[in-house]
Amino acid sequence: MWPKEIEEILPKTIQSLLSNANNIEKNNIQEIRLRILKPLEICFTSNFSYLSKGGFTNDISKAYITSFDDCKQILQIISNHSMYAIEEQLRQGYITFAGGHRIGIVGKVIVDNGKIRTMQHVTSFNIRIAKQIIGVATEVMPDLYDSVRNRPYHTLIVSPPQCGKTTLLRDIVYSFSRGMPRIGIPSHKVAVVDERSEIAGSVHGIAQADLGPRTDVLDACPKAEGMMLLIRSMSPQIITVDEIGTAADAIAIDEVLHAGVSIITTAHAFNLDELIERPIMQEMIKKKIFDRYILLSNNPKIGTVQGIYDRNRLKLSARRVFVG
Amino acid sequence: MGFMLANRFGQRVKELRIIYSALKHFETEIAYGLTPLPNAFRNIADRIDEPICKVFTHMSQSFGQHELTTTDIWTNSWELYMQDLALKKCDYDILFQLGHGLGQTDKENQLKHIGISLAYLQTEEEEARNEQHKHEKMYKYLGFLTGMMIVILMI
Repeated sequence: MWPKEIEEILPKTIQSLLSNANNIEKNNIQEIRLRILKPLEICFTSNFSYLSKGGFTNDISKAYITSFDDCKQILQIISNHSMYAIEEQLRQGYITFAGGHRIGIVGKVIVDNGKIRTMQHVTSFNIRIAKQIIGVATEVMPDLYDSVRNRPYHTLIVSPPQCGKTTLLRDIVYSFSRGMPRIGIPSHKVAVVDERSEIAGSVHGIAQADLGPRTDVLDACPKAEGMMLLIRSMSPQIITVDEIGTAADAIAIDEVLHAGVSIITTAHAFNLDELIERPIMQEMIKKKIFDRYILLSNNPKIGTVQGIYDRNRLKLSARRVFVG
Repeated sequence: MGFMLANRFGQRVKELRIIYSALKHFETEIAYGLTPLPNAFRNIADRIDEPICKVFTHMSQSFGQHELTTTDIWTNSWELYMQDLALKKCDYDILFQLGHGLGQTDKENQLKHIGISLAYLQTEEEEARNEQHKHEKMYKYLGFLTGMMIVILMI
């Protein structure tokens, strides 16, 4: 479905170009990329094209050229005419807006003491359309719940970028929060540390994505600190964080385990072998912290579950055959 | 007639006073709330007196149109109510100057801009007050005397 919020932040000129474009193709848009004085690029799930007067085209000479005013207007709209209000987001390089969609921005960076202070003269925008697909986790859910000890497994989703990692995580959160009585999973108290406002896509602290009725979101909080805070304050049964990898994360996860809370998290990697090459991940895998690994890939399509592995990194289906 | 002119001087002082406090509010909105402009202007409009509050209400309502720049909105709103206000050109100059950088830079820069405008407004207000004292009496007398003269002539 083509989200209305996207159109609202685009300048009138681009809005009218998009309204001429093919509706079916519009639904497949993943990214809209604007670069100053360059052709306007539209990325679909597997290919890209340019936007022109007659809709989508691959002919670069017909493409609409993003003007200086377009960039200025977008910035004005997303900042609500108030650059000072989005300073923190500018420093991070992206802004989340209504609907949970995100705009990545680059321009001239002003540095202060070796840290990014702010960004000026924004020249490129990448509007990433957030998709919540309720039900993507349904098929993996039975493997994520320990029906003997009645608790969710500690789970790590392993995936290359852009393979639907966050989408899956979001749906797992939703499913645990609602519970799935049909397959014997009760509803849980879930807490999410959403450091990059990606899982919930919060705007002014309000989650734009539906994470279920029993989910608390700690927005924009650093992961390690956030996990500790949630244990103390919200007494969750499950804690979810996105993209772990630092030493501080590992320590915090240890703490979570000792508090008897289940952890569901993700990491960037193309496969388990690659993951184990990263020292911190290696240590965690060796300690057998995670009971389940879900490996995602974009082959044949985004979000394909390549396999679910147990704590010894044995493929579950294979083990079933072995046991059976 | 004389009284009306005299009143105009008093009115200018009053308006400058209100604008000063409006900008003070604006300063706190940015410093502590990081409130985006549309909301900030609405909050200000709620807290200050007529006639200036009309200007801020109009501003906060103009943000829906995408093709207007922030500076346009600010300037247009003041120009729309110019008729009703007793401000002078030099006062508008200060305000329009502030409009130029509005919302386009980081917090510190915004606060600095507002600070400068506040300082200018204060000197302007003092001047206006002096003028008021000087001219008010004169115009009142003048008005009274002309009135007397007309009466005498008529007799």
